Amino acid sequence: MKKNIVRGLFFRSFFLQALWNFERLQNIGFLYIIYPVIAGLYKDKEKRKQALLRHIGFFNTNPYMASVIIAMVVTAEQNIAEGKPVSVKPEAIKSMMAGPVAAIGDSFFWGTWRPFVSFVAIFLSVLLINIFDINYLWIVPVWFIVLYNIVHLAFRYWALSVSFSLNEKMIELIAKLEISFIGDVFRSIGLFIIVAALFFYVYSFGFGPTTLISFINYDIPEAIIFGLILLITFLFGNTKPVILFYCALIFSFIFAYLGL
Amino acid sequence: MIINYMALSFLAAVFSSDITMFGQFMISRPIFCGPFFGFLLGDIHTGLWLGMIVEMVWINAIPLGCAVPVDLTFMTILSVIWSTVLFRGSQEIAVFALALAVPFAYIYKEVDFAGRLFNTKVMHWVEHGIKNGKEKRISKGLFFGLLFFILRTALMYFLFLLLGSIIIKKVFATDIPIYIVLALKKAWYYLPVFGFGMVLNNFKNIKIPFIKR
Repeated sequence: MKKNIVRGLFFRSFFLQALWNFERLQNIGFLYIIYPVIAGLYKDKEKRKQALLRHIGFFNTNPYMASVIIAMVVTAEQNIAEGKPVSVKPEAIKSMMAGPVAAIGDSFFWGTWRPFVSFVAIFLSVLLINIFDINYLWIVPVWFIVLYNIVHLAFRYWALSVSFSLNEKMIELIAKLEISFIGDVFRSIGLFIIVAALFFYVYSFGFGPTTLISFINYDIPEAIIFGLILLITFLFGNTKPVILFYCALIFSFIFAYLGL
Repeated sequence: MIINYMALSFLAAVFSSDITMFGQFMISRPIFCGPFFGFLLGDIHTGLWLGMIVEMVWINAIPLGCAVPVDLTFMTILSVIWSTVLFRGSQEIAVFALALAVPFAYIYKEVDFAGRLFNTKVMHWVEHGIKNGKEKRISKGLFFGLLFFILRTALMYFLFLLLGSIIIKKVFATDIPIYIVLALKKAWYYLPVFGFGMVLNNFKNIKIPFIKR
């Protein structure tokens, strides 16, 4: 596949969900991405119409993983236009592939990589606010966006270009990537990072002469309250975040009212 | 102020479009948009702090399939703008602003839902066009969807910015009991801890590689 076509598909793939709708989700977005290729392949108006209508149906997948499906569908359309036999119809590729690749994308990018990069950014925030210099706080958002997108954009482009050459074998390659194992590794590192961030936070705001609170004639460090909040959140963490958020605020009001 | 709010609303709507409409570069995540708007308005510290709280508390809120989660970008940007424009550097107002932005984000979610329902009509218009040989409707419909999203979101940002500003000014212009101010100041330090708790709660079922359980 020519590089300029791959590049064009790559840039258009950012618009996959621009007309997201409840009936067929990403269908128009997908059509928009592949439209230049379809227009190039089918010069006959009627054939082009048939090709476009093939892709008007329901489509939904992880937007990052869509690259794999885009490449496979474009290859199939190319074969149809050239009169070559196709083992699986393009619309069938979409319906068969959307779910499995979305599961991988959702689990790795949404469930692992984004939280991991966020945890590192939170760790940096706590360090800069409490221990280093708040003049360098701009590093946190820059770090977050650069690190996240290096992997995100590289993956999207790589998946698109490699899927053209590998086609159906791309599935085997993704399976061999051990994404589940990589996810576990990043989640474990993320856990250590967030615990370290919590440690620095409690160390900075939970102890010291200004953080002592009076409790039945005793001065106790604020870290005790922090521990209590953590315990309560850990026990009731499966409740809706919005409910817990307001509970935490009410908790602060009760402590303030009691003069703690 | 009105002009500033209009410009900020438009920029905020562009950031919100990153959630589903365009790119998913994660500029919509609170840990990025919070400090970014804080930086624009001259208080990156408050922006980062509020962004950090929202990011941790709603760590799992991501659009999956048909689910429309609460717009974290909306809640973060509103609270950052209020707390940096109205009373810069005040911790109690920043916490109050966040508490006020949360229900507004839930109201906005309903508006977003209605907008997505409208997209279905646009999609049928595109489909009808293709059947009649009007292929340009694909890009027209798509960019209309994107523009419509940005305009309606900018309008919502603008209206809620104005409404929230009035509420916050009214509340803090009166003599509020000292324990309320104290409670909000305490919450400034308690909410991140609560956020850490929410994140750790997610790790309850984590599988550590190389360690058999």
